[in-house]
Order: sequence, then structure tokens, then C-alpha cells
Amino acid sequence: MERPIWAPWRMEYIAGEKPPGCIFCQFPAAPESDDRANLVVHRAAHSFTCLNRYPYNSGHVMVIPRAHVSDLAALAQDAWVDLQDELRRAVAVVQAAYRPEGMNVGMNLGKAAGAGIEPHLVYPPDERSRFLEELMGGAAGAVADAVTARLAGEARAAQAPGIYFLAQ
Amino acid sequence: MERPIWAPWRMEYIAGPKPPGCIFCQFPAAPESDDRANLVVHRAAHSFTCLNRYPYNSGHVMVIPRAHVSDVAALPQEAWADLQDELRRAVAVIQAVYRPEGMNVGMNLGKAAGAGIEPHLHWHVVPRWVGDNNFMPVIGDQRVVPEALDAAWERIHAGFRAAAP
Repeated sequence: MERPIWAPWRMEYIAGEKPPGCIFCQFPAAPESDDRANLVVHRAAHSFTCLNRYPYNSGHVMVIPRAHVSDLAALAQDAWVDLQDELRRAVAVVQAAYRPEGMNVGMNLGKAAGAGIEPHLVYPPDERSRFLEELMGGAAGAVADAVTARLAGEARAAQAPGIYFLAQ
Repeated sequence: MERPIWAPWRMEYIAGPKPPGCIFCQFPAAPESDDRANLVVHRAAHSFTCLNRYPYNSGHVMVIPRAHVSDVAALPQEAWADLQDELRRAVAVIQAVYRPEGMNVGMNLGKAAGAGIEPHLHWHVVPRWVGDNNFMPVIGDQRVVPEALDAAWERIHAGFRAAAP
């Protein structure tokens, strides 16, 4: 077994009280002026991308359909295609912004498979290795702020076509 | 961290000789009459699904683009859409055939993320059950296979036929 990714700030989430309702429904329903506070980095027609407040690693984002479903088959074809396009866009942006040496892209369907927020589909592309030391010192909020700033800055610098990023 | 899924039979793959060339290119290029031997359960226009010969769990399949690429951005839109439709189809078929209590769906991009066959993209679909994490393989170093691969091929192949004739 390889060395684990140590992410002790996740204990705050695991042991803490969960907010009422579904945050993955609340985030895109909130005004865009809340996107920075909610860590939403991109909105698409049927999906959106946000940072994980309790990341496995720097640059850990989640790509989420707007529809509150727990089953892939429950998404209409245009929502499914939109979600997959958003996923590919997120992988490209994280690749460009972080230059990781690898990425894990996956989702856990059902509690038996380890899903935290079970009724939604979540893709977390994790990047490893490169920014581990940046993570080890930081509290979750500071890490998230740094990641938001970095993603927004890098996206502006790259002028990624067709990608809207928070720029405040 | 929960208990790991111990899958020591994977050492056979990890330590064993790798076939020359890329098996993910060879499988769809082979005649369809070889699909059973190659564990290919479904072919789509730009992608295919096959069983993992060294599964983490019964019903572990992989969904693979026909193009030999290591980056999702390298696939043209049509091939990407075909791959993702095949992924959704595979998840539905595994759900219908195995009735698992959960499923892990994921891909590892790059060696640093743990990809085994790094130059050719592949999604893993792994059905999960509460309590599927038996320690028998560890204390006895004994592989426990609840279902023969060929039997799994038959069920999943039939599942695809039913879902996508």
C-alpha cells in the first residue's frame, strides 16, 4: 500500500454537523455573487463545478449536475452530455492550472461505495504530489481560498475559450 | 480510512509479464468471435466494455475508448460522447445484472494517480456491497472467486443485449 494522502482537515467535515438541505442544489440556485463564497468556479447550462471545501488535495474540484439525482440513468440526455462536457473542461482546467503528474477522476454511487453526499453524482479530479507541501500547513478555508484565487488567475491567464471563471 | 479491498491476486498481474503492445487496442481490433476469450462484453462505435481479468470485485468492468489516448482532451467530441454514453450504459447493465448496493466509477490519469495501463484511457466500474471486504484473501493468501470470469461474461454480455440491442 502506498503512503496515504493525509488530509486531516477532512475530520472537521466528517465529525461536524452537516448543513440542512442539499448544498449541491443550493449553490447553483444562489446568486452568482455568492459563487466565490460557495467556491463555485464555473456554471454550465445543466451542471457546475465547485471546489471541495474539504479537499483530498489542492485543486480538488467536483463536477455536479444541477438536477438532484443519485442515478446516472435519471439524467436527461442533454443534461448528461452537458455534465460530461463540464467534466472534461474541469479536467483540462485543473491540468492547466496545477500541472499535476496525475489525476483521479471518479464517483461513488451509493453509501456502500463511500459516497459522502449520496444523492448527487460527484467527480473529484484530485491532483497529487506537486502541491502536497502547500496543503500540509493550511487550514481548509485558507487552502480553498488559495485554490479559488489560483484557478481564477490561471484561467484568466490562459484565456481558456468558452470557460467562464469567477473573476472578482 | 476504511479497511482496504484486499485483492492480492492482482500481484499476478503486477508481477507477471505484460503482453506486448496495448491490449486495449488489440481487443476491439480482434474479430468479434474472440470477444468471449478477450472478455469483451460490448462494442460501441468509438468505445467498448470488457471485464477486468484481475477484478477488485465480481462484475468489475472497464469502459475504454478505441483510440489509444491518455488524455480526455485528446478525444474528438464524437468519441468522447460515445465513451460517456457507453459508461452510462455499463453502469446501468451492472446495476441490473448484479444489483449492487453501491458502485465506484473512476479513472486514474497518469502513473502518479495509479493508472496501470497508463497510455490508454479506461474507466473502471466496480460494484460494491456492504461487507464485500473479506479478509480471507489476506490471512490465507487465497484468492476467493465467487463467480467465474466466463460466467460473468455471459451475464454481462446478455445484460448489454437486453439494454442496448
